Amino acid sequence: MLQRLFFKNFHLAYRFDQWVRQRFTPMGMIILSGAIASGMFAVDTRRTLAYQLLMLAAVVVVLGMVAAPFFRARIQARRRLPRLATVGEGFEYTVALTNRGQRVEKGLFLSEALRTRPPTFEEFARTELPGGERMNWFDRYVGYPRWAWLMNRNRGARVAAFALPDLLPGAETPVRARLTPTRRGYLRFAGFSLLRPDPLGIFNARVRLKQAESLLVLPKTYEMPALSLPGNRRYQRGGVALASSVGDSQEFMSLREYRPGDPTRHIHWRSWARLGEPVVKEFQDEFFVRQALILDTFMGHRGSRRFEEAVSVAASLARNLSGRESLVDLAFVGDKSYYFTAGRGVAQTERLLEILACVDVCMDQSFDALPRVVMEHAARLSSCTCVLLEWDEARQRLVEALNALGVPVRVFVLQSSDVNEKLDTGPMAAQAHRLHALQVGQVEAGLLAAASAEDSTSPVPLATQGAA
Amino acid sequence: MSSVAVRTVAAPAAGVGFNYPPMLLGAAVLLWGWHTGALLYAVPMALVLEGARWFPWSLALSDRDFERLSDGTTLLMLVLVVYQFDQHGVRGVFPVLRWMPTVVLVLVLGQVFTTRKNIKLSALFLSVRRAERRGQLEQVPVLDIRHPFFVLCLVSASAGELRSPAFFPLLIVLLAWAFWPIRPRRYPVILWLLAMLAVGGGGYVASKGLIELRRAVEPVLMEWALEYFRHRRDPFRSHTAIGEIGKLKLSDRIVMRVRPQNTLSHPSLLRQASYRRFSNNIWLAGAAKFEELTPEGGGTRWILQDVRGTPERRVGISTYLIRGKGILGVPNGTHEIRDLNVEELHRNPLGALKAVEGPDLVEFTAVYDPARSVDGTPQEAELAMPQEYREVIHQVADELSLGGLPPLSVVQRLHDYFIDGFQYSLEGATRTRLTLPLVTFLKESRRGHCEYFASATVLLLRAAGIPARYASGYSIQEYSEVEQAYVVRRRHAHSWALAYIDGRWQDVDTTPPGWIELEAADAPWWEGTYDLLSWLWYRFTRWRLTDTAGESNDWILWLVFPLVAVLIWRLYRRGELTRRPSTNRNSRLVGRPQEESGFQLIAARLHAAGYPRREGETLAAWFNRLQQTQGVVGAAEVQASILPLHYRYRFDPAGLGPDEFQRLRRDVESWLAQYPLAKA
Repeated sequence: MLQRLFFKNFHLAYRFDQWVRQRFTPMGMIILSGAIASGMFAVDTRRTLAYQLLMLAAVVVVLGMVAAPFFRARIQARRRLPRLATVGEGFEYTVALTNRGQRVEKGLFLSEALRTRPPTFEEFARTELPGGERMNWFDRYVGYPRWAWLMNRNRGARVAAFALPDLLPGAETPVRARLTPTRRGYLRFAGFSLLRPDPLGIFNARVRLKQAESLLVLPKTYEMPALSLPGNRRYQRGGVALASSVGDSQEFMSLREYRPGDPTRHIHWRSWARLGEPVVKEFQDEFFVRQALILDTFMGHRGSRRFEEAVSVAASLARNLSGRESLVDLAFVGDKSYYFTAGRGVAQTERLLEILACVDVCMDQSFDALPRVVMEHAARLSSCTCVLLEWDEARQRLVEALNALGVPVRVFVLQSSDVNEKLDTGPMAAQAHRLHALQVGQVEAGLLAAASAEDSTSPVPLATQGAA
Repeated sequence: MSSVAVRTVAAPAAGVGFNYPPMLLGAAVLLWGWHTGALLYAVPMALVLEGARWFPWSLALSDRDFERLSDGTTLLMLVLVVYQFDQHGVRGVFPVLRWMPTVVLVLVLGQVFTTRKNIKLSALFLSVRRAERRGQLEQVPVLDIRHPFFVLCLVSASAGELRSPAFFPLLIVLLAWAFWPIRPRRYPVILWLLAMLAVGGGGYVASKGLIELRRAVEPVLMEWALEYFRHRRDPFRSHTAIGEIGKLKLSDRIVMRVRPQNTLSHPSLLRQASYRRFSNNIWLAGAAKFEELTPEGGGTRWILQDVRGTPERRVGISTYLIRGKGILGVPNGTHEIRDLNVEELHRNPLGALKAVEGPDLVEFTAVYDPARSVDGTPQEAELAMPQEYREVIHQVADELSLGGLPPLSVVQRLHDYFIDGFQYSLEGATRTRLTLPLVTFLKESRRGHCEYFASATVLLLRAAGIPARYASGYSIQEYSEVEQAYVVRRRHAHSWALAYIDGRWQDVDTTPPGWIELEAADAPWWEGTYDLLSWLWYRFTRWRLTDTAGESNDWILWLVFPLVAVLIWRLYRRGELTRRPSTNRNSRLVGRPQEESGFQLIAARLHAAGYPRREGETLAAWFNRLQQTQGVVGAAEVQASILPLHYRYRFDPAGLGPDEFQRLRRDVESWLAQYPLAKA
């Protein structure tokens, strides 16, 4: 009950904190801190002259606040955002400001107003702060650091007020703004805050400009070398290749250079004669090897870095596995499946990244909900990459079932940064080189190591790839 | 420990790289030095601080170095605090405030002599440091340490003993100096000047107003606070709770401490005041004017009655005074007060002792003889009977056959009467008829608290022809092993009768003896903790009021060593936890602007060659596009080796080690040399 009482006051404290940060200029914050510091010693006016400093600071602040309501500005603002952004990568965009007034507006500042949804008590109670287990008992019990972390996460980006150039009357002035998304998902823009400092530069008067908009932030991805593909040598052909006829067969798509292992009957002899090196016919169904991606989202609480890293790994794999050789056309995220039937390449990958951008922890169901969904699509699986949060019995059973279907499987297991246990191979005993443990905080190094491990143990030479 | 590298850099042009108003910090330091009498220190401090802008060298201090500077500053602060409190007691906070700029100077110099414009808050505050290590901070806040140092100089200066009238105008000058460079261009200068005038005028008026407000409010607040928290005996009247309905409950606050000095026994009652007339449930002293006593023996010894050759019992008593005044509780027969450190002691004919102009806590020795009485002889009022009680009192006296009995027998019979037939209770009488509460007590309920018993006893003694007074004070019952003294709580407040028998006033307490246990049963479960805190406060108050002129409480200095040892152990224990091979924080390069990795040179070359990065396109997507779609030479190499390192440099909380950073720089230079990239 005490926690609920604290919780009810957090929003008030947070709003006050945000109000102070936005309305007081850096010099204003100095004056405010001076007022507080001198206030501690100002009570006894016989002992110190701190009361003079306190009164001066108080008058400065009051004068600034008194001037604030008289700020009027007829300014419109419109932003031009990119279509997508990525977590942790700042980007610049244009804000077009139109001064509808009659005079030049000088010395103004602009700040983005991001819609920040306060968490419910249930969300708050079920979120674990990263590293929270190492906090002192008071902070853990009261929970304000957890609240502040949730609010910052819900806000989704770091924004800072920036100075505007002089805005001429009747003119449109474009300015460059910068924003760094701090979490994936949708950033909801409510509008802008137009700020004007008082004559002493202490307190900002504020006018809100409404312009609602959304921006999808994709998950952070890691650069990694192309992984050797299980099932690379499996060709799935939807139709009969007419080896002797180029252009006649509906399945025959194009020509490409010969790669070791290609059937000799696909060699296009005429092109070889002309080019001097072997060329094979490329069929529509042959070209794409279907990759399925499974992302485990079953966790008991929110706020886990492990989960975010799992999403990032899934996103990295979605990009990595989608190339000229293969396509992730089937994804299992939580208890839902996604089948991409149209398009390929960047568009399909982006679609999958958009799904991953919005994925949330599945707290209400157990992991057993996922194998059912996977098995429903078993016929479509050619190979499968799993990104798991645990390596427990339920998850091992899923991998075992996939192995029983003859589906080549690669498994990534995310571990907390303080866990460094070697995984028991279990159902991956026969292909232990495709079972990888990734530690939070060292994921990129883990992915590089995984790629190296698979490269060195792959029985099939790598096909020539466009990527390095 | 990371080495502090010193390298020669070109001195920045005046104003470049320093957005702090020139000389402002030095002026603030000089103001501090002048107003606190530390000009000898302030002048070199100001010269060093302002001279940094022309100093040709700079220090390359890492975050870890600032952490060590901050920890060292904390240690210095601790030593300063302990030393000043040792010298000045609780008032040592003001010398600490006055000298703080000298302690914090080290940190400020650390910043002004580097190329950094600010310091990470994790270097200064342990909580931020811990949050950073837990990965809870997306971005560690930074602070320009000069700002709080400027504020500190002004606040410290205000604590100076000079109290010069020039301080206020100088404050305004410094504020104007700070505000001028940041004034918004939107407003004309005249408006800024008017605003500063308004600040000066308003600040002056507000300061004067604050002083007047303090003068008006302080006495009222003091009165209210002390009335609420302290018990006060009125020697002229005692408002009883006779007749009140409800439970009488006094607090468990310890108000006195008693230590018998030369005898194993202790007095059972400490009397503060006595009264003669009873009217409307109020006991009044009547005409009992206080007269000042003349001290002897250095002004701490007060003779109440000159007695010689009598056995002397002594008891030490500690009690709190309210605003330096209070009524002292002493045993019956007290004829001398020793070691009482007050300016004046007054006594009235009824034996009340009033101390005037003393400290918050007084400790004195009461010398008493239980067989002696130093109070005045009885007056007519001590035989008077209130009209409203005459009938019932005489009726009870007749029932007890008090008439004609020797006085001691009367006392004994009254003892037996009340103890056998009455019950102690904190509950007030439930009045079912319009009867006097004392009548209800005697005839119906036969239960009540000590005021009932005392009042009834006084009246019955008078009915028996024995002069009697109503006395109030405290009962001594509880011994504290922790304090090694008898503790007297407010709930031990007691009333009893005084009977004049055999030429002296004697205590007659007819309250059934179980009242102490009854009161104690109501004690809260936290009483033990409360008593401990009370004892600590008592010890602190004693220490605080100890005369330290010419001597110091050196024992407190010994606190420094274990405290410093604990602090050092904690600092380096944390250092041990951070010394992991993979996170050598001494030399991690984290989160620097991307210009420093050199990657922007590659981006610039590609842009110039006609391969710009699209709006909103991530670096990874850009190079993927360049490599796969546009076949740009060199893009694959960037993707494979340079870009991962650049990403880790910018975003990985663990950052890059120095070797990796050097490798990144080399790879960038090698790539630039290898791929000139003509314009597409």
